[in-house]
Amino acid sequence: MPDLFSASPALLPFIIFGLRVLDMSLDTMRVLFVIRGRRPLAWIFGFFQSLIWVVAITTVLSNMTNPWNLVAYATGFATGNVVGMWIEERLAIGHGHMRIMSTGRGSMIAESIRNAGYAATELSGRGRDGTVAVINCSVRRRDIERVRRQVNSIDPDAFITVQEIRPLNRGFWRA
Amino acid sequence: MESLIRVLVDWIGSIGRSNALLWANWTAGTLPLAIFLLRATDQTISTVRMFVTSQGRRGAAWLLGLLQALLFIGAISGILGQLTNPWNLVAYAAGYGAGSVLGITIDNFLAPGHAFLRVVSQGQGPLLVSALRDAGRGVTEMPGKGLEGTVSVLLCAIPRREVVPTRTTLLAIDPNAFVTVEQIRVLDGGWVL
Repeated sequence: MPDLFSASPALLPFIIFGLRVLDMSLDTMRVLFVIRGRRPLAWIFGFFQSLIWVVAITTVLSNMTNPWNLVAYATGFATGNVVGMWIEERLAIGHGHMRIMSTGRGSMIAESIRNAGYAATELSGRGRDGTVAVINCSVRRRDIERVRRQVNSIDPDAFITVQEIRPLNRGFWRA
Repeated sequence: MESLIRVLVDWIGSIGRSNALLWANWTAGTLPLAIFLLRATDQTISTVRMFVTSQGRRGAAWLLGLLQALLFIGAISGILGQLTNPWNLVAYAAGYGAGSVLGITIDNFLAPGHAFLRVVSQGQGPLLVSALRDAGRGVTEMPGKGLEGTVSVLLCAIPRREVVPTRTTLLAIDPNAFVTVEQIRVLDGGWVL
């Protein structure tokens, strides 16, 4: 760590900002992994996050006279949080359960989902204006957008909801 | 704009410089209270930020993150040297716990996003459906089979804020209804007001 403490004072805010962005991105991803029950990933991210945080905080605390260090610390914290969210969305680890409700075009939607290689379970329900199809479809999180576009192209009025799930047993998952 | 930033930076800097002094000026009696309040505020912001982060709301996450970090570095970092007094230590820990609880309470109160209700009812299905539709909700009804015969399964998406009043309405009609709630993200369409 001596490099950091003896770095030129003009550079210090940038170093602090960079460290904070890095450690908060890791921390945000860690929290999101914890929510999804990914233990090994949560451990690894937690380790590196706290390692970097200790370096950043001690650098700031021993250089409290330069207000830019504090500004860099706080904006780095806020920015790192958002960067972590962005990365996690791109990684899109995990699974989502899509529920599609459609009036009239249910079987067409289910057929097209199956043709694309995903699994769909059709149920029939009754809405205010008559029979509707309820289609259940579990896909990997990164496939949600693709399925959504496909459903929309067949029935622009379909009601689509997504929730996060953890698969317990079996099912048909596209490899 | 530049002078505004300058003023802000100077102000933050003055907090930093007076940090140690600030804490030395507190009498031993009131210090734990101040520590408790600051730590509770910090942790409240942090908890709300966590919910906002898991919902993917970037703007709010950035703003809360900035507030929290300024508070931490400006005020709370000064406390860390004072934690040798056991009362200060207890106040610090209690503030952390209270902040977590307050953060959850605030999130429940604001309750952004949507929830998905699944109601299983024996016999009272049509009544529940018309009550929900009268309240302006979209409902899909499905027949199901339970131990004692046919049941109605109702699916209904509502704003999270409406969960408690909706539950009250449902249970008033059928006290035996089985009601579960899931948090969902609405992608497209539907009848969600």
